[in-house]
Amino acid sequence: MSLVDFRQVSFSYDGTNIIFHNVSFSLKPGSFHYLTGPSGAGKSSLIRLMYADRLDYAGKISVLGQDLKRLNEDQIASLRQNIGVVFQDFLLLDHLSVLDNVAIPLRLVGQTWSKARKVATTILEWIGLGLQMESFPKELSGGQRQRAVIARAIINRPKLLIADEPTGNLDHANAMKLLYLFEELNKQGTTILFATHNHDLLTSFPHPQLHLENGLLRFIDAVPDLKAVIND
Amino acid sequence: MTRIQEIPFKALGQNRIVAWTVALMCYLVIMSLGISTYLNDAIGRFQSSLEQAVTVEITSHHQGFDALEVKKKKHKRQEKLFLILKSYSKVGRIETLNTSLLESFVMPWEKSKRDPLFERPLLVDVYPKRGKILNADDLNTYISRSLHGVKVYSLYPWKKDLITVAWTILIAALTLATFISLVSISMIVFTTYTGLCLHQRTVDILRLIGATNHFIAKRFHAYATSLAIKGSLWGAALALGTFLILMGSSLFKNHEMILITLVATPCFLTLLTYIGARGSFSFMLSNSAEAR
Repeated sequence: MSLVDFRQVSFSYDGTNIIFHNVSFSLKPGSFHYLTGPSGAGKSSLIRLMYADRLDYAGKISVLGQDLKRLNEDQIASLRQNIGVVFQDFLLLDHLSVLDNVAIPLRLVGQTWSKARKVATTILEWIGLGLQMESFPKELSGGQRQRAVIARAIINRPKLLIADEPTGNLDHANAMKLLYLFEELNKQGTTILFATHNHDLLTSFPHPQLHLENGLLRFIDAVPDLKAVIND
Repeated sequence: MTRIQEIPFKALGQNRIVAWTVALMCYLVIMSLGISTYLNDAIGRFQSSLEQAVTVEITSHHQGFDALEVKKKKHKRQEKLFLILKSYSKVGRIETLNTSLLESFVMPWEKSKRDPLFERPLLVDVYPKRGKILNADDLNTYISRSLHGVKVYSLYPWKKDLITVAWTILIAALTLATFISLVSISMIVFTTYTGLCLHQRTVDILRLIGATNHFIAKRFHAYATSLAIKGSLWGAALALGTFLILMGSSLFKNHEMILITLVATPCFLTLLTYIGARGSFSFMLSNSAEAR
């Protein structure tokens, strides 16, 4: 069974300018896909549909076996609790410390603050933000914020992790570190959809791509790291 | 450990103003209810004396004479009056009005230049037997046959008017209390709704990471309720101070009722705020979610 299933999905914000048309694809559990395409191709829009931020699309979208259009408010919230999303613009809560920002998804599923904070501490140490736990988002660098968002996205051990251009604000070294982290999560069984237009990543960590351009989606097989092949 | 707020309500400076405004409103509600309690007592007292009781006055004719002689004559007239009244078939209970109470009516005007020979009139309240009606004119004629210098007054119409006035004020005070309560509750709910707009980004983020409407609404209910609790407790404390001062002047005698008002008003305001916030916020949140 597919974790994500798009069937003939078309979407437009205003009803006239079509962002994508008749898009169909599915993501199998444990898979790792890149979502590529030029800026403005509709990658973020496609991701927004996936976590039910917009429901005004045509076609059918199933996520974690549930038809999104048939879900009520509470069911959508429950679905989002099982999806980890790394937002392009971080969306951290400025009034909470990094620790509390990461702990909050556990609060949403009914855990106490003390329990949630314990789990968040472990994840933040694992992700390399052990020293910044009590800092506030505004005091962090772009890379640190990105890692905080990832920690928040994975604290619930989601089956599906969606990352919307998470390396957009990072330098090459930090982007590579981030990819190692995603690789590690994928090895642990998390299904990953990683939106990017960073070609270095596509070759350094080869995975199949969903390429979105001119409103159409194309499937591209994993691009091998040619440098590594030559060196071998 | 400090309490963590998922939605940063405390960041807004308006909280204190709202809490103090609620305190003032609660104070006014308690005072209105206190006045209502007092009026209710007064009405009760007036009504109990509305059994057509009449007041008989033995007027003084002996100013300027020997004080002892005056006293003796007065006592004799009083005894005679009592005998006459007891012989009247419709008379039940007879009560002489306390001299010190009578004196307190004319104080402080008379206090400084009190003439020991000045005779205060003797007042006697006369209550009818159960089921009988005392007519002031008939009683006056009956007493005048045997004793002169006596007047019979009936305060029934005056007391009846007073009760009507008291009822009007009581209803006005209760209406005022109800409206102030409604305004307080509306203000808290409105302020919290403003908070919903101000914290829209936080609410959106929480929703995106899986918060249910119930989770968010609960934070707003708690915030609205905490404002109501804080405000009404301050209001109750202020009202308590005022009542303590007024009790010194023995205006408010029904201490139990005032205590109940002091405790019940904050509880009632808080409960109504919670119910109001609960209804309106669940509606607002589901509407704003649909708008997306």
